[in-house]
Order: sequence, then structure tokens, then C-alpha cells
Amino acid sequence: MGLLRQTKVENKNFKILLKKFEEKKLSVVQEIKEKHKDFETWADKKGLNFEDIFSKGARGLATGAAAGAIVLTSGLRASVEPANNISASKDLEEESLLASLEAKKDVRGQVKKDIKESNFYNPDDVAKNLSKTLKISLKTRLDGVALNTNYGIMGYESHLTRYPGDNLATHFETDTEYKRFAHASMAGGPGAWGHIAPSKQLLSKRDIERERYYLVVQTFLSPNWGSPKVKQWFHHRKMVAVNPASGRVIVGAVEDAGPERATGRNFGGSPEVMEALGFSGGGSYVFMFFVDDPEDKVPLGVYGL
Amino acid sequence: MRMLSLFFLKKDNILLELEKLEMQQREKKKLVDVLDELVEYRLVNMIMSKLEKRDKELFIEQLYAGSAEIFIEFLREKIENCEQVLGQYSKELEAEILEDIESLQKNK
Repeated sequence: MGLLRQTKVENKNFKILLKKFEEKKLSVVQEIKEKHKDFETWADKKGLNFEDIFSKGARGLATGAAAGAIVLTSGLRASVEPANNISASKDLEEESLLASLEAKKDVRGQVKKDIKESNFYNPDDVAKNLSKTLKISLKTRLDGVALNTNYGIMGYESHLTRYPGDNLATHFETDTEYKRFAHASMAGGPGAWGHIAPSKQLLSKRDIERERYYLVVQTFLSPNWGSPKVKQWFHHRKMVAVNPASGRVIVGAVEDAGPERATGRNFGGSPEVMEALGFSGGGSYVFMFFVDDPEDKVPLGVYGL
Repeated sequence: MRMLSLFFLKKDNILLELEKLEMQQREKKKLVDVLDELVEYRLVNMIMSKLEKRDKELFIEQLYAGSAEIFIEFLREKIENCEQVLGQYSKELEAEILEDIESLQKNK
């Protein structure tokens, strides 16, 4: 009898709460539909239901997690894991998977402060201070190889052709990406090391990330330049680009050599890199450092996201 | 799984309070799912109220299909102190949810 009574109480609690939360949910849905007609207009245009917009919202998040990117950004840890004294059910554990990614704070203010407090003319000093804030080991010289400069103007590059036949119609994964970045057009060919992938079928998530966050450096002006080994060393080399004015930071991969000395620029960045650094209108000054990441743990992309 | 709810809602205390009601796991799971939806809708409602007309469509597109990275970057650009604003609102929602659960315990 006792067991039966307890089960009845549990069910009652559940039902009461479920009813209450469902009512609140319906109320806010109604409010959204009335106040923000943009949703229905947009859903109609796409042939979707109102609810579809929300249920697919985490798709990008799941993709990011699968690609190894650190995506949480709130600085308030997204906390879906049960507290210590709660035994986690298998269902709830599934949800905590994404929350196990460590949140990173918005470090833009600290980055600007670091640079301001560093000896601007000593890139090693800047790298040292930024390494502490970003928790990434940054170097001006790695494996004995250095660039001609760690500070200079970064130019706005076009998208690289990732595999033979890649074009504006095939290059983007979402409409949003297309709208944001198609204007930069295609470079008309691959980078200095050839196509990132031999074909569309063999294009991996990693390849996509490398092109999305690609960097261009003047390999040919490096004091170490001159051997095929050094040229190969630069390929896919992970680097950090920092906009000292905004404190924005991205981690990218070297996928092309340039710009020509006559351009007056020192580096290049993909459209995604340039937008992320806050250079939507064109080039400006950046710091560039090698990432000492032998275990390949630092994800490519916008730092702090 | 909802992006905004996942980012901003702290669930530790909510799970702890639900535990006190001795519900079955599947019931707790169902409630957490509904709460996720509720919080997501509330946050979306709040964000939409803060956006300019021209930014609303872009926000909806990103909510539907954008990468988490671009989505959050967008919020940072369009809403000043977005982490603090959304974090604070999420705390209020958490308190409201906890109050609902606790009121049930009192009537037990």
C-alpha cells in the first residue's frame, strides 16, 4: 500500500509541474507569435513550422562539438550536469556531453591590456603576455623557424578553392554563411600547397576548418627560407592572429604564401578571419604568432567561442 | 537540446530540487526537456525585443541553421554585454522555476 501511495504522489508532482511548465511555454510561444511576426514570415518563406526553427537550433552546436571546437562562450558555465549529490541518469548524462566543453571568457579587454602593457617593439614580450591570457603557448620562433615580422598589415583574401571544382555554390554549408561571406568571391585557385582535399568526397571537417580560418604569411621572406623542408613546415602551420585595437583573436592555419612584397601588406586572412578580427572593410595591423601545439589540442576558429 | 538554454541556464539547482520530489528518471527528463524549451523561448523573446528590425531575420536564420560560433558572435555584436544580460535573465528564470518546484514541496 505504501509503495502504491508513493507512486501516486510522484505522478501527481510530475503532472502538476508538467502542466505548469507547459502552460508557461505555450504562453511565451503565443507572445512570440504575436509580438514577433518575423518568425512566421520567415518560416513560411522556408516552408517550415514555427517549432522547426527552434528544434534545429543546436545543429551548429553539435557540429562544432564534433569538430572539436570549443563553443561555449557565456563565461557563465552552461551547467547541465547534475550536482554531485545527484545520481545522474543515462538520459541526463547524454545532455551533459556538450557542457563538458569548457567555457571560455571574452578576453578582448585583457588582450588589449596585455598588448598595452607589453613592449610593443619586442614581439617575444607580447607573445609571452598573450600566452598567459589565452592559455596557448605562442612563439615568435618555433622549431627554429621565424617569420620576417610578427606585426604588420593583414589583407582581406578571397576563399580558396579547396578541391577541384569547388566554387561559390559549393563552398558554404549554410545560407547564413553564404550571405555573409560569398561577397569575397573565390581566389580562382588553391593555396601555395595545392588543393586542401583531392575531391569533394574526401573533404573532411578539418579541411573545411583549415580553409575557413586560413592565413597567408610571407614564407619566402622568412630568414629560414630556402629548402623544401621549411616550405613544408609552414603548411597547415597553426598561428594566432590578434587585432591589437579590438582585442579579437583567431587561431588559423597557414594555407597560402604571400602577399607579394610590393603590396605593402605582410599577411593575409580568409574572409572569415578578417570578419572575426573586425576588419570587414579591409586590412589593418595584426600580431601573428606561431602556436606551439604539438598534440594538436588548440582548435581553429575565433578564440573565446 | 536548445542552444540558448544550453549556454545560459544553470540546471544544477533545478535537478537537485526535482530530486527531492522523488520522481522517476523519465519524468525528470521530460520536465527538463520542457524547461529547456520554455527557457529557450523566453530568451528568444527577450533577444528579439532588443534587436533592430533588420537584424531579426538574421537572428532567426542563425537560430535555425547557424553555427554556434557565428550565433554567439552575432549576439555579442548586437546586444551590449550580451553575456551579462542573458546570464542575468537566465538567473531570474532559474529562480522562477525553482520557486515553482519548491511551492510543490511545501504543499506535499
